Amino acid sequence: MLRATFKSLLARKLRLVLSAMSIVLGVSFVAGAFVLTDTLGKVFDELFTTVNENIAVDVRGEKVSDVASQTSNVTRKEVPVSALEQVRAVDGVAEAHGSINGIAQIIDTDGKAVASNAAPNFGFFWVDSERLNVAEISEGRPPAAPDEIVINAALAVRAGYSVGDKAPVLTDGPTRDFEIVGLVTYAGKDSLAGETSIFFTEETAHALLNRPDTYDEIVVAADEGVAEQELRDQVAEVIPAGTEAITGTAYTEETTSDIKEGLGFFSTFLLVFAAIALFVGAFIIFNTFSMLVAQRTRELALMRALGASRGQVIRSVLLEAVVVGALSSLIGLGVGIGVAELLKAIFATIGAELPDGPTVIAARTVIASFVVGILVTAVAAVMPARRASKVAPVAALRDAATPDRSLVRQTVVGTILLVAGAAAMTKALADGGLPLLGLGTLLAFVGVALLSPLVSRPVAGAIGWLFTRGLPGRLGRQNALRNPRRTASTAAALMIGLALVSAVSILGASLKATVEKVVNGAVSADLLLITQGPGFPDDVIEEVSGAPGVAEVTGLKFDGVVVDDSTKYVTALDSAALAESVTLQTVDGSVDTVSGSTVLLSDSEAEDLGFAPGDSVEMTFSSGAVRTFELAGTYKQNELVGDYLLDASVSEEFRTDRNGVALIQLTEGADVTAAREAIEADTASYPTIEVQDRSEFVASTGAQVDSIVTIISVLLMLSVIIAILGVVNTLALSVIERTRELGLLRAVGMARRQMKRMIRVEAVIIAVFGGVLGLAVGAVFGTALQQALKSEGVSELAFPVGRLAVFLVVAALAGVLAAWLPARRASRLNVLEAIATE
Amino acid sequence: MTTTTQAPATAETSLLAARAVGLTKVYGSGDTRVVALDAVSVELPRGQFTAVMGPSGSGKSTLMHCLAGLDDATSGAVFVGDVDITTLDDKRLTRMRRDSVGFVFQAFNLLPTLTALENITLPMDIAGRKPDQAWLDTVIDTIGLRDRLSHRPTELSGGQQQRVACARALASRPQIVFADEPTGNLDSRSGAEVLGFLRRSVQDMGQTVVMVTHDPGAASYADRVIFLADGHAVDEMADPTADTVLERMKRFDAAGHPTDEV
Repeated sequence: MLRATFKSLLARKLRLVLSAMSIVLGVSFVAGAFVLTDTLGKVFDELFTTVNENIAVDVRGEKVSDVASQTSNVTRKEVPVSALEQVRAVDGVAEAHGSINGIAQIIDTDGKAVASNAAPNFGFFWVDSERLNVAEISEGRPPAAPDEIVINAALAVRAGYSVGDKAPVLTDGPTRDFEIVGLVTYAGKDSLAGETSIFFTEETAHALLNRPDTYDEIVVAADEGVAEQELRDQVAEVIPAGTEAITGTAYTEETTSDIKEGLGFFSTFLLVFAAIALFVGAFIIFNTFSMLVAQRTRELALMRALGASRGQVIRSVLLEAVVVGALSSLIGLGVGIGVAELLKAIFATIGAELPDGPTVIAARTVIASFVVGILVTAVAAVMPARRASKVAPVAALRDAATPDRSLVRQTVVGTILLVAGAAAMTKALADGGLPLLGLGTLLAFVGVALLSPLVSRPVAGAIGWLFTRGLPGRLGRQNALRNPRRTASTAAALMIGLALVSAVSILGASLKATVEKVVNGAVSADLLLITQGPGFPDDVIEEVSGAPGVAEVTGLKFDGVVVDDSTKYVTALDSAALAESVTLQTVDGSVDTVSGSTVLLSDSEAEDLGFAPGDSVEMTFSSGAVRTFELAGTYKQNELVGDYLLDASVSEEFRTDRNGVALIQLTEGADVTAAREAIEADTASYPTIEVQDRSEFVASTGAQVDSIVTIISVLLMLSVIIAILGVVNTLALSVIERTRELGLLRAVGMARRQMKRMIRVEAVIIAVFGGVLGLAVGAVFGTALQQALKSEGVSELAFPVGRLAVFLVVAALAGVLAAWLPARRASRLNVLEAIATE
Repeated sequence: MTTTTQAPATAETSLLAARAVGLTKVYGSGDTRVVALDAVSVELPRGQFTAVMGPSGSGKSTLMHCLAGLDDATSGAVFVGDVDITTLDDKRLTRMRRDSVGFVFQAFNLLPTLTALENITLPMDIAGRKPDQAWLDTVIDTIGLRDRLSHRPTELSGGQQQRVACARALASRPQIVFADEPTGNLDSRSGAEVLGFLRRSVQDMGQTVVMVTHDPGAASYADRVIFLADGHAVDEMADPTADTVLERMKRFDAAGHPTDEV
């Protein structure tokens, strides 16, 4: 039996290669995600171990909230400068230095701020210490005067500067010119993971980075022979209230575990797509094995007639699946390592150059690849194997044609799965819970796939009407309708990817529609100041206020606060703006003004927390201050201002005093173009500020949504590609099954071109059927997502009709592509051999 | 001027539906070289029912495949009407099969997805041509399956299927119909029906039919029998009966190879 299994594997290797490809792709994604995140994890591990090597103790402010910034993923209090001397006085302290971790960007020779999407743009001050400063001067000298800086070598290359050049630098205030007096490297590396760093003198850093008399932390090196734990305890005794001391080991662990957590999210994100790809792959495997079993009915019956037991038949089919799965996993693992390298290269091109490090292939990666690959293949083959075992020995003697089984059982099971899936999804969308959502989606997909044969005749038939001009088209349509089960399950594989892409697109379009509605409904401003950088100070607001044609400028400042132990995002603005630039819809109380002692809440937030006008709301700010506000009124939820509105005066407790957005109201009848030019001139020293009108603002927000939708769509395309392989596979098997028919058609005069068209029409009908199913399911999923996110502010439901139409076209093209090889094969069929087959 | 020199030949050959001139077909090369047809020349006059007979491996099927443009010749020429089909590319050859030739195979003649009527009009549908309705009616009435036209092949008996196949072969009024063991899979009664139908198509409709068979009874329906052995056309017989054909075939069996002169 074993030998027979391998013989049959070899005999149909080409067909199995196609279906194996689907598993290879899925496994390679799994392996790639693991290898990439492991490699990065190791690189960062080593990086921070080296960087923090000599830190025995770290003194820092106590944690205030989980509000993340570009330089830290929690908000902490600051450490007073005076603490440094106290720490230095502790016995066993060899060296101690304060540190400010700010944000600073250099303006390159083209006038653009050098920003990195993926890595921070640091502003530090230079510490003259070999033990505690990991940066080494590689060229020039350290900064000595207030207008001198050193920058890391990679930044110099990116910005186009060299030692001796003057360069504008953007920090909290307006840009200021500095002389680059030196370059630094880190143990010979130009940059740590794509970061950019600008080192000022300490005095300049205090002034520019908004830490007049505080540090973010103090790093301590120990005298020889002093244990870090002991030193920490001693340091902890002398430092002022509101600060804490941790050992260097704990500090490094914290840093690396933060990064690992981030990488974990990233790896989960990739694994979700890998899971989708494998799910689609399982469909292909299922289809392939079903078709192979159907083709081999006689062979299997002969084995049964010769005395093979049912169990042996099942085992032989499953063994075949396991071998295919194992081989696919092996290849997928190899491809996955390549995928990881490719992703690293892609990161490098978007500015997140990663430090070199050996590729890490953990045992977990190898085991997961094989387990996943083999398991998915074997599970997908279980049903076909069972069916194979049910072949009666007598079938060996009969004609191979087996009657079409009834769809009743399949329909019942499909309905149950669909209902269960929908219930799970509903619950997950209401209460949260990604695993439940995934499970629900999976069940719903299998349910729809099982039900799809019911609609395949009418739907595929209707699609087929498009091609009924001409005999080849009609025959193609008939062939597509011939085996509703096969057509449906092939189309179902394509449905999955397209349904997810459609759902994401619908959600994206809904988000965009919501933003548009909010901006047009809530903002009466004519122009907006937007920044991708660290924000802009009030000086800018004042300056712009004086521009000709400008009536009113309102800056919006954003930060996170803690309310009831959870992080909330608040907006501070000048109360006067509530009448001018921002339109709020009153729900309860009064939202016409806000003062230093009152707060306005969105209706949904107030409802969630059980607040009513007149209640007190206690907030802990980034500064560490705890203040209580009286709830003055609630407004209809508004994406632009968020859930909490405070008076501008409260922003002194914010992490930064800078404005994130400014709303500009022009005077009646003002020349918009002239005003805009004047404002642009006023903000010229802030290269990261952009002036936009409302429609531009909507468009740029929309573009951000689009780019996220695009990234997700690209990742989902993997599953579409796998589904195309499935269509190829089905067609190839159909061509083989219909060899004699094709030969007959050629004999009675069908041209090669016509034959190709016939196969192509069949493929396009299957693919478009998958597309229609996908769009239908996607529309339901998308609507469900939007409804679930309604309370999060996605109030509008929008269908991106153009985009969805494109997906149908993509499906049709996928069909044409999938038909290419099978059609070629069919058209080149040797007529004599074809009609002689038996 | 060159055409005028061929003019007499044209006049003469216009009485022929098809002919092979020095037709040779070799399969394989070297040690596996097999000569299936060795310089065979046959003429198939219009309006005649010709049977091709011979023992297994005599080359009778190869001859038919080459005549019908299903297989290419190694050397020699094959004319269908006035056209030397050995010079045609696949596209023209396909069109020739579609428009000038009708086929009846031993088995699997019909597309399972099409109804009987759709199968009958298949070559014309492929060509995108409307069938001649009057002729179609004649053909359908002759096969006597008018009430079965909307049935699919699986709903027809083997004999009925072959009759549908015959109707398809005739429906487009081809120059010549090739039938390859058309009764090979049928019981004798169904076989007789099919053969009777082919006979009538020649007699009443003026059709040209060439049939490959190994059944002397089937051959007796023909006007003429060509005997093939070892790739040579070895004998011919006009107005055959089952007995005379059987007699002739026995001489092959006894000799094991052709002993007689052409």
